[in-house]
Amino acid sequence: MNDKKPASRRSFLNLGLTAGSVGCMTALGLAGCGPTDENSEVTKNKGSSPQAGPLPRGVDLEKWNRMKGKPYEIGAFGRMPGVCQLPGPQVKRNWPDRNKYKNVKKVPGVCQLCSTVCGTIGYVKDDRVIKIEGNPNDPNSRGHLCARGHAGLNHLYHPERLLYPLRRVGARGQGKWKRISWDEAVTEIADRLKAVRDSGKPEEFAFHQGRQRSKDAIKRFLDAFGTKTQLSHRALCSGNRRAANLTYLWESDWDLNDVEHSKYILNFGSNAFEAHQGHVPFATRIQSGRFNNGAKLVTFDVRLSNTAGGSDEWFAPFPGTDGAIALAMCHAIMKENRFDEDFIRRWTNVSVDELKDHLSEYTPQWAEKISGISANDIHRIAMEFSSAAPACTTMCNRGSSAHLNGFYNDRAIQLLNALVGSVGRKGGWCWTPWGGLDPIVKTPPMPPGAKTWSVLEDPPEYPLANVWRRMRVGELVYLYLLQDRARLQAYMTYNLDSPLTWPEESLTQQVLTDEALIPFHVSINCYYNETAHYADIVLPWATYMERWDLDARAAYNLRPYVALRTPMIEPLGESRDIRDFFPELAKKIGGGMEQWYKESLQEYMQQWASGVPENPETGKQGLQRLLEEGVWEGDREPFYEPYNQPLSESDLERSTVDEPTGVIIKDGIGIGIMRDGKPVRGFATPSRKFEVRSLFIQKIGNNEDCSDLIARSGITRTKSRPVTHQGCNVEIDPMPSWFQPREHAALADDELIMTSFKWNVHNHGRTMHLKWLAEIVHTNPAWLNPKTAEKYELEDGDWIELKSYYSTELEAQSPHLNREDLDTAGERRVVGTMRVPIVTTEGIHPRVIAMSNSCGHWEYTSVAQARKQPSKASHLVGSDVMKYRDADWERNMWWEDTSDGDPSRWKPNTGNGWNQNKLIPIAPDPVSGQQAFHDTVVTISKVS
Amino acid sequence: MDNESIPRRGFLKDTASLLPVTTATATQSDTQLPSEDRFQPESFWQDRMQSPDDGKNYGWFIDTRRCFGCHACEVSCKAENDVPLGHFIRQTFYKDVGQYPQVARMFLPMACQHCEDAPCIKACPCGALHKESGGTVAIDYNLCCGHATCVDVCPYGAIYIDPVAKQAVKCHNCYHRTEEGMEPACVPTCPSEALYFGDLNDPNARINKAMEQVQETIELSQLRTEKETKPKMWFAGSAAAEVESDIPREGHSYSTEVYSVHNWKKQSSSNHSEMSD
Repeated sequence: MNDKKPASRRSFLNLGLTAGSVGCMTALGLAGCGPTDENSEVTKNKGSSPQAGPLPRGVDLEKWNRMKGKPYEIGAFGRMPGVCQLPGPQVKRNWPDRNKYKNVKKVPGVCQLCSTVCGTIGYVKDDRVIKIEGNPNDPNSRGHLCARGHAGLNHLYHPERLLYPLRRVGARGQGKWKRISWDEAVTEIADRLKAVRDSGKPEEFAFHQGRQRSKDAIKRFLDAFGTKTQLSHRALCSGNRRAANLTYLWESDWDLNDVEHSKYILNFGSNAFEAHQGHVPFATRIQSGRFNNGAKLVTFDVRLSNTAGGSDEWFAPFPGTDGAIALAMCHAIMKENRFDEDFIRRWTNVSVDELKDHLSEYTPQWAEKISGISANDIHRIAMEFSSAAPACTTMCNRGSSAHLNGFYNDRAIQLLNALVGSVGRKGGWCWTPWGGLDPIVKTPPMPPGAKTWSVLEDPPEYPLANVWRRMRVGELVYLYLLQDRARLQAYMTYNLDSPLTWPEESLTQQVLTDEALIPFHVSINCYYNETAHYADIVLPWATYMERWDLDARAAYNLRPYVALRTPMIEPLGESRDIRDFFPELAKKIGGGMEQWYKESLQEYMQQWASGVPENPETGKQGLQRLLEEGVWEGDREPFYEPYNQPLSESDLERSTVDEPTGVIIKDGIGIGIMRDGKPVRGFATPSRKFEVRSLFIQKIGNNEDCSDLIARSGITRTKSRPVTHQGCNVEIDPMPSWFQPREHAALADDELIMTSFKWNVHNHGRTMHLKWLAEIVHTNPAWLNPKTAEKYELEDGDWIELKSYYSTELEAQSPHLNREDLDTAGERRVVGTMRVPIVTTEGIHPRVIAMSNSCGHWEYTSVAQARKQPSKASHLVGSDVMKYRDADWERNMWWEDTSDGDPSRWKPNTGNGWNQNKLIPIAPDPVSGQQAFHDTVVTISKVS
Repeated sequence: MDNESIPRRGFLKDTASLLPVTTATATQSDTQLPSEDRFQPESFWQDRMQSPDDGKNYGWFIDTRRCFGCHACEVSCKAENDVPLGHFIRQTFYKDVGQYPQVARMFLPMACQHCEDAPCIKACPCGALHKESGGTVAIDYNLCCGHATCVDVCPYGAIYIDPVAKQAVKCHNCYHRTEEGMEPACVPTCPSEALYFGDLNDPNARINKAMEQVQETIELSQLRTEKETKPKMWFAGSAAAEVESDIPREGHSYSTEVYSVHNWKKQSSSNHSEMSD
């Protein structure tokens, strides 16, 4: 599989299971039969009423034929799914087609239109995927699939899909392209990368990924090359929630709320019904918990998301005050003696008195003043929550964490679970040590990790960004390049749409255009998007329906599993996956890289999956079993109360007990703790307890050596901060606490806070090219409370000008960001201005204006731009526009905006919306580096 | 009923002499003409109102309390049936109820109710509308000539005219799937487990279990029972009542406007689109 495509790949592809009912495949009836045709099964089966003959049948046939539309002109590919052939003139005889699911091949796969990675089944007929459905064998998604998953057909078959490599021929960013061969592309890339390697600065090759589910393949390539400059979007996503979880748990950054078994679900700003990394599996279990188990769902969110709107109670706090509310609830629980004394005493590293003392100032009245949520409601919900313990859990995500104070918000929220003892309990706040795949599967040997360092990958100013996990501070990459804090020789982007999804669109574009800052840029993507636009070479990537992976997410069943992503069809055109061309590239670069690519892809997958045990019913194991079933889940016990697990005799061999703490140490590493005279596992933290007080974060913030704490936790991959961080100290409160960004505390009467949100049919910059999703949501007017609108004399559909300001909190806390490049208005630094229409809604806090992400593309196909006709842009030489022509789009697309930017001619619900990232500043949380997407202060004025 | 419907109305008028129907003018039909006036003689449709005698009786149960409006059922349906843009076999309606800060969002997945006394079958001048196994109301495309009389009499706006074929299209319970032992495309995908389809005559069917369980605590409802079409779709939760006024009526089809965030708050939507051609 290392060399070119055809034969071997073909046979490997055919491993996909042939199943489905067997029957004779009848050709679809084609146009040409008149309505009097007797070929109707219905007519034959049922007979017709006696009167039917002389009455209407066939009447007015002539007229009908005249009235009928012209059949769709579908491309050379013919009868392609998603081109609306049914029940159009071509096949109107037989619809729905009773033979559709006869003689189909069912091929397992894993969706990748969001990061939830639900198991799928592709129904394949005549080498075409005709339908995608959920795989019922997937223990996480249980066979469900969201709207995005179904639109995978649009992703696979699209007239503007990239199918051939491109080389830039005009200036960078000018959009002029020439089609080239893979040989030319690979040779040129290999030459450039070899030069980087030969320069002795391998870290100047940066790999920048968007969502990626081929972790092993990328790590293998970068480690073999010798660069650690692997950039990601984690800080744009989930850094604070992960960091907060890690302070308490160390072994996991991902709380898995056991909502299916809960009685009370307290949601701070998560929109699990529409988005969330656990979207479908999590949402299914929330509803199951509510409607099968009697759980109550209470949501705090500044905006009425579908989750908030479908909750039993919704409260709209002032933005970013989730942590204050949570601390006030903690206060109430302690004050009313509703805490779990046993859990606090046995399993936290603070005493009841310490907690009471620490929480004494965080009264519900204090929180009411800050958040606007009444002290009575805060108190009541705290009592309800504690009454349901231990079957109660908080849940949160970007709503609470994507703030400048997000780390503290999430730490405060998660503390609630410890106070009531729901940590690790059935129906409570759980986690697992397995973030993804069951460790039973192991890749062939990996190269040793690269040892380079780059400020882009490890900015020293953010102490928790990389200390437990490499979360990085993605939003800073372009700013640091602009500030000359790092240099690049080569830049490879992969499934990335940074100008659209990164804050400060114009800065991102500026840096991507500048050949001095980015001398060579290779973009790997299925579509020509806003990142590819600034590349020098664009490589057509195979879709997730055409490539191989083993994949899994942190599982809500609290035990790991293994899912197989396998090609449903051969990759279209000349599109290829990195598993297919990285070996070729590595061999061309040489210098030892090639030694890590000994196996063929088939051998690699077989070896990787070989740990999957035999199914006694079919006798198949490993890859063969996965090819039949798609997913395998082991029979491990769910990860409940792991801290109570007793240690075995063999665990305890050679161990000693540290008397004052009871921590059990073996070979210098913590393995457990003595509780009530018995050796148990405890938490994987330095104290072996749930660390309410984290000395580690305090010391790490100050660049102190933490090797003793790390050893006791047993999580030895954690490291103290490197010397490169010296001098970059950050005060981190070891206790859960809270602060308010100063621009929020001092919000002026004419200012609003702009928040961001996701739609249930979209996923950042990666789904607007899918017509069935774009039809549902294609535009994003700004949400405004009617009372606020009234104040500005605005009505639904009016246009406003938004002006956004840089954070004064960041100016004080993060002077290293040095944003003197931003213009000033009065005393404030201005990030951007933009004109958008508004929609008035009761579902939003009056001091908030909300805009969704995912909208406002200016590349990424005509679908994403809401234009009926593809542009004449030269990048289309990389597509087969006629072969995959979509006449349904050309004919029936109804939301094109023809107003030409004139608000007076604009019609609501048309066009492709606006990119909110024109307005959002680069704003990393000073502790973890997570981008604060929900904090931007704006002013608005009516456009008349 | 707006200008867009004129070509079709014109067509109906022109062909009236050939058809055993009482043709309504555009003005008349705006004011909800009693459907009976559009019905064919009973002898013409009585056979087609009978489903094959196989003991099956399909029905739908929608637990609107569980639905969170994810649109998975609609996109699965669109993919399954290759429904053109701007047209819909099923749609999920959103409605924000209440005033800030006491607001909730209702979700109502809607599609053909597969009425036992289906007015579309009675009105169809071509004899194309009929019942398949279990009472599934379906269309024979060898016969359908796109008169759209079915659209005019459907009290739920569940039928559209394909813009190219000029034929009626509606939910057919995915009989091409159920015959292969699969569920309709919208059902298994539902992440909220709000959609249930099955044989009401089978006590072990999932739908019956789900309905029984829900009925222990709450009453189920049906939509627009005053139309006396005996719909075979039951709802749990208040969304059906709250959203009812937004659901298209006779002469209308599901509209793109349903997806506009500007319309989630409206008490009633007056602009359900006609066929776009």
